Amino acid sequence: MFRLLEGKNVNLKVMEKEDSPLFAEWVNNPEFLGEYFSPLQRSIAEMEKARETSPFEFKTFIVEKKDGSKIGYVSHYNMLHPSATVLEIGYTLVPSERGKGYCSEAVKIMVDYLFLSKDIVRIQAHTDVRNVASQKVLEKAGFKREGILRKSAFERGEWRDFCVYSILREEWKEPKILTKTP
Amino acid sequence: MLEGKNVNLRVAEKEDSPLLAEWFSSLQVFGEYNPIWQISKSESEKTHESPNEPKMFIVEKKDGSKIGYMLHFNVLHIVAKMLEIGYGLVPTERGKGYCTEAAQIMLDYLFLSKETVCVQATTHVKNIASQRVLEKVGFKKEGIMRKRFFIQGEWQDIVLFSILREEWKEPKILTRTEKK
Repeated sequence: MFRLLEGKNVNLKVMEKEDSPLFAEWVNNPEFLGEYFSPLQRSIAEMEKARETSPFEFKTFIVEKKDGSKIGYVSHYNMLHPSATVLEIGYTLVPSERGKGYCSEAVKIMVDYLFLSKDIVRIQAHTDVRNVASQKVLEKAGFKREGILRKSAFERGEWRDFCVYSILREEWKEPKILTKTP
Repeated sequence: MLEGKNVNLRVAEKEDSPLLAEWFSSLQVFGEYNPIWQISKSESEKTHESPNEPKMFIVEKKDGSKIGYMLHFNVLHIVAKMLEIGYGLVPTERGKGYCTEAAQIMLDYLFLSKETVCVQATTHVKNIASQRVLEKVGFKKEGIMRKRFFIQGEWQDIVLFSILREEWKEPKILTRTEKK
């Protein structure tokens, strides 16, 4: 097996059709989505269709520990705007595997992969202003907070403030986890 | 199936999609001198089903083991459609002449079955092994395409090779027309 997206403690594996049931179980579980997101419910068919037809071009990777257990996902997608299309990332781990550094490593792998494989100058991410854990993941991966989008997303019954983080190619400089040569 | 002395080229079927997804998503097989891709099995299957995508062949040893891929595709320019080949072997089967033989089979196949007068190929400037394969089957180096492919985080120079029908002359491997 030739794997590419390998870290020290976790690997990122392209999401396959067989992962759909587990993925659906995760994102339909309010515990997994957490206190900052609405408990949206989607069927497997709905999710698969969205993945295939979405103009945002979602690409999802399953986060796996070295023993093969699947503990969450990291995805990238396009934020479309008339002036420019910007690449954004999103991520969530199952509650029992949080606080161990796995998400930070997974995000670093994703950032390396994106700058190595795409001619982009910027990667961004949004988090709820209260989601300190998520913000720490981004800061550890080299992202800088740019500002707050006030009342920009409707979650759990109200309009919430989200902060925007970004990392530029010139700040990333070179891969931290994915070495350039095999 | 197209048969050589040590390897065969077999047209890829749907069942080969997972293996191709793995090869094209790996740094060792595809990614070293090519763009970095991460392809799922469903994406690989979709490519197989699409009529415009590369025509994929699996390179197999005589014992049936699958050791790499050989493909041809069209490069569309406003005034011409150019035929290009691409290939890759798993690292453990390199340096044994298999890729050279597979490229010769593919060349014979293309000139025998298509009206094309030219077949081209591109390699990274540093990919000496790949350039040797092309030179051994008769390709000539045409020049360098500067900063043409995005590889490992930067735009990199690529060498363009080509072989003309009159240089290929006749098949070297696909010569038999009937079974003995």
